[in-house]
Amino acid sequence: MNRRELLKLSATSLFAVMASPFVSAQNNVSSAGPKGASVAPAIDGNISYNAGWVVPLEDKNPLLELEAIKTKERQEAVKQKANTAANSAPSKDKPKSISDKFQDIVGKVKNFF
Amino acid sequence: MEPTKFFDADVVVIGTSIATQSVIGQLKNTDLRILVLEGGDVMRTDFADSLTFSDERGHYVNHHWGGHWSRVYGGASRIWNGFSAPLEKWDLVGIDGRPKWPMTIDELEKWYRLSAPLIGEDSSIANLVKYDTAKLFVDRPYVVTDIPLSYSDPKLLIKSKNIELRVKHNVIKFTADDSGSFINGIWYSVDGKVQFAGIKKSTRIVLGAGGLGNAQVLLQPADNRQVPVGNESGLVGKTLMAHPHVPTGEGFVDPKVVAKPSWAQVKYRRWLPAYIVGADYKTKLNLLNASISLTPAAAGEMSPNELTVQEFYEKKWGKKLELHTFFARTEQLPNPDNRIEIVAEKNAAGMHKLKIYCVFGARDMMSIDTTARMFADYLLKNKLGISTVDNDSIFLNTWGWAHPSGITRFGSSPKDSVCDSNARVWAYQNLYINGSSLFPTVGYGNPTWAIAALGMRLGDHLKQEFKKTA
Repeated sequence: MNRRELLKLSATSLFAVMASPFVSAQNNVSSAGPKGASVAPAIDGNISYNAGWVVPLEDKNPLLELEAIKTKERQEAVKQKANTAANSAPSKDKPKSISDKFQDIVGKVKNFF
Repeated sequence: MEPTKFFDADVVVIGTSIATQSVIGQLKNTDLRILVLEGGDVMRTDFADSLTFSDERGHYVNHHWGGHWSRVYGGASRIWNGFSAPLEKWDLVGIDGRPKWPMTIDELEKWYRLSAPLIGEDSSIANLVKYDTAKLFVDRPYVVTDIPLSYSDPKLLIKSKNIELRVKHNVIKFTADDSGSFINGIWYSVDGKVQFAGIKKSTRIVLGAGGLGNAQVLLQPADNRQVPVGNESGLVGKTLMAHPHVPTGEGFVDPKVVAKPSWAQVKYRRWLPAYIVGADYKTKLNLLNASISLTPAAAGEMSPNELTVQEFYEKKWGKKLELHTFFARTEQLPNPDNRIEIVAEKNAAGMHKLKIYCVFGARDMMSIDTTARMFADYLLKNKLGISTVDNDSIFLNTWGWAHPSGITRFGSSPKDSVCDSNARVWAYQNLYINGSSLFPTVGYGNPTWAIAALGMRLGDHLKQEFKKTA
């Protein structure tokens, strides 16, 4: 038997000593179980949906479906607005201001990091 | 020190805010000679504003406290007005280890009723004090007040012949007689020049220098004794409380939710819809006192997420819903770690400046979250509205307003309070205090109305005392 096996054996024996009173105590508990076991766990019927809305769980899926439709509608409206604007007044490239240029540089540096 | 001059008056009143004008109001039609000392001038000055700067540590910083007590005629009420809500029985009775108020809700209600005109309101607003405590949520609105002109116009005060007003008189500290039972002198400064005046035994002093200022005076070191005059209890400056404020989220609500409540028969001029948890539930759930008020959300384009929620629940419940912002104003527990201390540096008036520690505890924060979440559930279950509870706003952005309270609290025993039930400093026969510094607990509402109520009560007490002496 080497040193590692000795250590392993002593650790196991120590665990057996520590666990035995607990095990015997368990044996004394009646089969009906402790009274606390009959208390139902508290379950919150509401959930936090998306941006923190407190809603019942059953409303989650229909809300998500409706939101997907609304989001698509909004995106299409934005796209259509942009197209209309582009057709009615062709965009001219305005010269960039100093602050715009600075923003470009800062933006690039930020992206780099 | 032998005085070369005296403040010769029956009552020396320190400060001109609602805390002292409410006291003076009870005494002005008497023969009593009243001397009023105001640290600031009739108008705000840079010199006076500089006096309230402190080293601010914790959740309220950037001269936040200094903005809530001021050296100017009329005090903080000159600068701030707005929401008022009364305390309730639950706040006074020592729930869950909180210190008790040394008075009943019936007595406080009486003084609320009498003092309502001092904040420009009808006495019927005191009907809000008592409500159905068995309800889960009670619609208990804030009264939006306009403080009357008397707090900015000194001519209205000195119309009474028995009142003398001296501005720019900053009280620094008191001295006591050899018996240690009477205040016998006041150190003060005018334009930074420190002076002394004697006080006779028969003179009563009313200290109303602000929620922080009252304690600052009682913490100044004494020349010939170890304990500062007024801090014999060792409690001055401890258990500083304020009112955490934070937007908790937004919600689409049935217009009924924000309709004027009719249960209290109040003649409102202006009011703000607000809800609180009923006292029975607060006790049962171990909550702090918190209110959620509702204001119409700023007009703007709604996100697809908001449009979805509105459309879904309007269709589901068959009613129109309006978007509102939800805002919590809440109680902070008295915690001895939250305190003021004096530092070596002095301000321009010659007083040691303050270092202020005020940090929210887990229960302060959790009560905001729990109340907001319970309110969201309540609206949902009753088909009254749908709302958000914004975690980051509550736990990362909760802040002021300050409403400094609790640091010279009154009580029933000198063992756990600075002042007795009549707001007299336990150790002295002639030193009284008024202001939010007396409050053992703070409730959730702006303290101005309660300060006015306690001031009238103190004024009445002094009147009775002088009658007895005469």
